[in-house]
Amino acid sequence: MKKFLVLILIALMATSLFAGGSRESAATSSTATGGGVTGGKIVRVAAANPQVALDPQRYTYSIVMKITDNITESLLLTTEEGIEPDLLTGMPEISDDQLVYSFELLPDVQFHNGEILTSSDVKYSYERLIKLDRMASLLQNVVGYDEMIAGTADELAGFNIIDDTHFTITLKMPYAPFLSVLSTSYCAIYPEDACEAAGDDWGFTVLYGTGPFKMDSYRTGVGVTLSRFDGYHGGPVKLDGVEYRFIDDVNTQILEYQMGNVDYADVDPSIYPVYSSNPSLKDQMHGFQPIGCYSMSYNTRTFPDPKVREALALSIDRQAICDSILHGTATVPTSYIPAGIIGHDDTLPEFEYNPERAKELLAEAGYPNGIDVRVTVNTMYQGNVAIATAFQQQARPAGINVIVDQVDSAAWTDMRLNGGVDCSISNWYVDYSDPESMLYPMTNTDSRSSFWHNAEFEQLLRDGIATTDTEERQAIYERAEYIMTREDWATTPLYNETKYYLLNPSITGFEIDSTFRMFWKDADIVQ
Amino acid sequence: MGSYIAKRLLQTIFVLIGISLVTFILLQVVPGDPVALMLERRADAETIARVRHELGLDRPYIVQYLDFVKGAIHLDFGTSYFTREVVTDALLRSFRVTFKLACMSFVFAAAVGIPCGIFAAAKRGKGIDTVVMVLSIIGVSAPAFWVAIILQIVFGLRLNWFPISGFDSPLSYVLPSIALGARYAGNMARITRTSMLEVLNQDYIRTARAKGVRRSVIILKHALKNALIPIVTLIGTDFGYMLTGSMLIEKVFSIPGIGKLAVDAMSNRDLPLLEGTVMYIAFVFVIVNLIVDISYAFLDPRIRIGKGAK
Repeated sequence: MKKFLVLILIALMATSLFAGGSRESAATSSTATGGGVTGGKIVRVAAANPQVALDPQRYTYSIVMKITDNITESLLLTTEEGIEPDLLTGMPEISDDQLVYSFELLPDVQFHNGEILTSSDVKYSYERLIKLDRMASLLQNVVGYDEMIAGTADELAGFNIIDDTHFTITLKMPYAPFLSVLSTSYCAIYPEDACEAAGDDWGFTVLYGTGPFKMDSYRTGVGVTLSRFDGYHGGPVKLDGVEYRFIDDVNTQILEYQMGNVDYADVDPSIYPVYSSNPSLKDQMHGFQPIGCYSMSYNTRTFPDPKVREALALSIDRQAICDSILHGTATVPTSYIPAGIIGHDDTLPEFEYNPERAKELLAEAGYPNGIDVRVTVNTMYQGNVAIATAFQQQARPAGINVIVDQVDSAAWTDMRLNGGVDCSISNWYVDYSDPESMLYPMTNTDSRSSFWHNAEFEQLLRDGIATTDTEERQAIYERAEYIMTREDWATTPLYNETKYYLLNPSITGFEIDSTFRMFWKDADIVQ
Repeated sequence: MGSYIAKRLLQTIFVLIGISLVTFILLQVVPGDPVALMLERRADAETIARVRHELGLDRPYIVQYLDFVKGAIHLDFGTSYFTREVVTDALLRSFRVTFKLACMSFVFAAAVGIPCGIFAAAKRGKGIDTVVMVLSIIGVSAPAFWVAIILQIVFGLRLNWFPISGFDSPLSYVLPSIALGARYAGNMARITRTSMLEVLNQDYIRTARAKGVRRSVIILKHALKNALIPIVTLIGTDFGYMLTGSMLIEKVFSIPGIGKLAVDAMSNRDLPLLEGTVMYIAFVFVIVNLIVDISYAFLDPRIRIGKGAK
């Protein structure tokens, strides 16, 4: 018997060692060229495991873009100063009728595989974006989009190549956010031949862009290694490389930072109070406000009377939620469109907590004895469970009996699309710095859980993209938001969050923007 | 014995078919459309319908199920909707990691649990017995993720002895193996103690004592041999559990094993990957149980399948 057990143990240890010996082949199944950067100025970033190809046209996760934004580039780039040309000689010329955009590419821009960027690569990249469905509708205003979606055309008719560095794009109708759209990560430019040759391996084993870093390896479940691209059109950068280490657990990320094994780590709101008071970390903690907000949406089929929806909005003590659940990492909003983009109205008052008034409104709506409200929460965001539970208590004085349902992400998405969600908490961040990106889900696909339609609102959104006059757009979106959040009460803002991260103090020049894009291009390590 | 093994193998096939059917039905019933998840954001109803058609999700359920069974027979579960990785490759990749972690956890659990159980039985009623049993209860009841975090802070952050995440060096497996194995070690200690005490009270042990056989020989040679039979059953089942991965441990230590693969597949409603993972887990359990049953019959000469001990 003893021999038998000893044999089992020896066998297990041996096979365990064998498994260890084959680790490389297992872990590098998705390795590009292997190897990586050794020595020199390398920034190590803790990141959640994206699990998918590093291809923002196919996968829209922010973690994918945090990596690819340092590898690939779009024609334009949105900075704090506005939209700037990146792969272009200057800003595109726009025809008087706002329909035709003329572009000139920078000459001799190299992809990481040595190919030179041409107009056909741009056309290919946009057509690929449409064919991949996921973010295709970003280009829905380009002539030929509808035909491609319908499958009657294989090429984007509105894209006209003049020569290798000149092309035009024709729109079906004036579309003010068009240049903002082209500056997103989804509109990254890929080399046509290499991308086609890679097929489904694109973003796994192969990813070429024109950015300051090239991908050396992508090891599934382990990390991504980038090294400096010496042929970068903006001149070589100071860092030798960037290493992304996949660490899913938010607490482990911080522990790794404390141990000095990573130079950057996100601070999840749930652990913010633990580390914000840590004297050795608090000076290395930085915050920024992404453009977007958390809100509570109401299904207008379940609650057709705006008075009921207003009563629900008045039953939320947002300040208490910010203080006690979000530990001061969030502020009470005054508007759905946050500060920093057109349409934000800073004259509006904060959304108040007034259960008495809520009770009156319910009585006026025919519910003098109160109502039952089912709040469905996506368990992927545990913070939302706490908020829904707080709302349960806060709404009670108004006569609102809140039932909290927790479902997983897949079920939540399904229920939301099928009208099974009466009341939900969700967040929305802009894809590009334009109010259209903030409001379009209310009339399109993404927040159909509210099933809210308002003719004036929808007309305002159409007007908003048809004009480039900033003042006019400001007035349009102010009015649109007012209808949505203070007249029809289709959705009500809950809070604006500040996201925190830890950064090694010896690193300078790191940039993170309000659309949550992360750039290491100008970063350096100062010894 | 040969007919017993053949019978068990036949049962295994029926069990796997049953599991495949239940899995398939449950995945159709549970809310969550993989295509809506894949396309989220800007996709409209028409696009969702088109992609459902491309993936074959609009075919009759029976056709989908038969396709799944046909694929499973050839170990072909298709391609993940999300990662586009071949499911068998993903399973193999994760299995290698989980297998390594399971082996090390198993070795830790057996190396700590069994000797502790023997020691506690030998010192029954004494202080050391109480200490070992209290520790075993803590091991069994402490949540694995809590043990993991404590280990990370003490042996990683404070003492800097071991890495606290990743799986790229032998040392990086130490803490997850302990975190995962602690519960099993506690359980093994308790079962070993109970089994040893039962054997130590038997007549042949008393006879051995009367003959003046040394205490250590009695415990290790005469008692342990018989006491190990229920322990072998336990450790076999435990090893089966370990091979199916541990989502919490894998998440805390950033180990891309089977547990994490299964949870990710479930949250994404990644049907091919989910079906493959469930079939893998079912297969592991069925095979481990089969091996345990067969070894049980081998280890105890009194046991004769279908004949009884006479």
